[in-house]
Amino acid sequence: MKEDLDYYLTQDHIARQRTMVFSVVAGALAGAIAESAKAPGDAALGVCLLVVAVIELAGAFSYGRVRKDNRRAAMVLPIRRYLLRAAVPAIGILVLSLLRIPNIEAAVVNRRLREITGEDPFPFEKVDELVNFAIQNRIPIPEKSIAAAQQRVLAAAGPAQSPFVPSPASKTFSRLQAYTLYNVADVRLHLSGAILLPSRVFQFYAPVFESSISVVGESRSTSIIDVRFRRTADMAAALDFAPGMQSDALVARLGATGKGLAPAETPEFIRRAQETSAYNVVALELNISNLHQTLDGFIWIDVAFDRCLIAYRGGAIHLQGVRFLNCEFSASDHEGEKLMDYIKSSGSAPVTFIR
Amino acid sequence: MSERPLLVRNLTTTMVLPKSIFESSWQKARPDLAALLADSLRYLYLWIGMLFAHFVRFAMALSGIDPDTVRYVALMERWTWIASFACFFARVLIRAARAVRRD
Repeated sequence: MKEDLDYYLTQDHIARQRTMVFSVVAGALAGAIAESAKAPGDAALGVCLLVVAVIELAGAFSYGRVRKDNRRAAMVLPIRRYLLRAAVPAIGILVLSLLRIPNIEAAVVNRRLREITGEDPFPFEKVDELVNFAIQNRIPIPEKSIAAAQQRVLAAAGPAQSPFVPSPASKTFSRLQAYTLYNVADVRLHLSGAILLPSRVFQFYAPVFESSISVVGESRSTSIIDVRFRRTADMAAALDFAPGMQSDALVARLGATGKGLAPAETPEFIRRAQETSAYNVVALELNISNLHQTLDGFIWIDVAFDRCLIAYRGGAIHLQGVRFLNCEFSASDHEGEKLMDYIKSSGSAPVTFIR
Repeated sequence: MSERPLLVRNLTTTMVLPKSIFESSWQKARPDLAALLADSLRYLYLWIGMLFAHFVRFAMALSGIDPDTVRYVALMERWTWIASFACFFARVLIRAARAVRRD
């Protein structure tokens, strides 16, 4: 018996090969079937290992029924040609494992996003992780998939309790917004959460002081902020990003108007404290009318200003597809005046200027 | 008194030379190492097949086809990979157990 086992382990390559093929095929089938049957990962792995171990043990310990005369299998010694052939797949696997292939990654992430956004209850954390992963690794996801995911997030979020209380879905939604922005304008944001404004008019009788929280409307023409207070030193802007920001912020897809106020009395639409310069504040897809606005320090993407008083104080500026209709401009220095002249000369055409 | 010739036994003996420890170790380990090498080559042949399947998936994904459509190939590829390693280690354990019993 012991001699048989030794002979099997060291001499009979053909018998060992037969056992190996049988155990690998059976183990792979067992594992694949277990996984297809929705067994937990550990259970499927356990089934696979068990099948392989049983077949290997049975092959080794049941060996010995071969007659002595037949035990003259010649030892197959490897020659260089075999080693070269063996090296090819090893190198191929190594190279493939090191390559980053965006098309494949994108297809996999896209499918995964579609799968998990179809789950019930909605897995907000999983979507957060996946989108964050895509942003961090610059994996492109089709725009329509992101839009579909946003719709499902909004549906899962349910009706808003209050216009300025973040819903559980806000973090996920803000991540999707951040992804959209990264896709559209190559701006990478770290957003902490978003307030989702349903499609109606919100009347503001005082500023909203926020640190880091993003504000996202359902659409720029249906989620309207109606500013009803006059500009004073304490109430300078409708949305005021106060000191103490912990992350970037996004104001997106909404309209803002101060139509009940005289133009000289209107507050700014958005303002940020000097101390928050370490973080980005992005204004995306907005319609702003009859309000003041200082352009410095914000990233403006696809924003339309109508009858606004626009100021520029010489700081960093990022305009991308921004339109100015019937606006008045003021600048603090000569460079600013040149920029204002350039904007005026563009008329109602979208302006793109980054400095 | 006649002289009797001495009987001489004409024997041929083989002088057994002492082997070095390396030589004896090599002779002892050689069958196991040869079997291990032969087994490893079989695994590599198996992985060539898996690499081919991987290339097929790779080409499909590059051409824009969602890899989800060939998920069963990916499934079998992954589990064959796992099973081949399981087989390898199962055999290593059998060899180790046998070596311990032999010693």
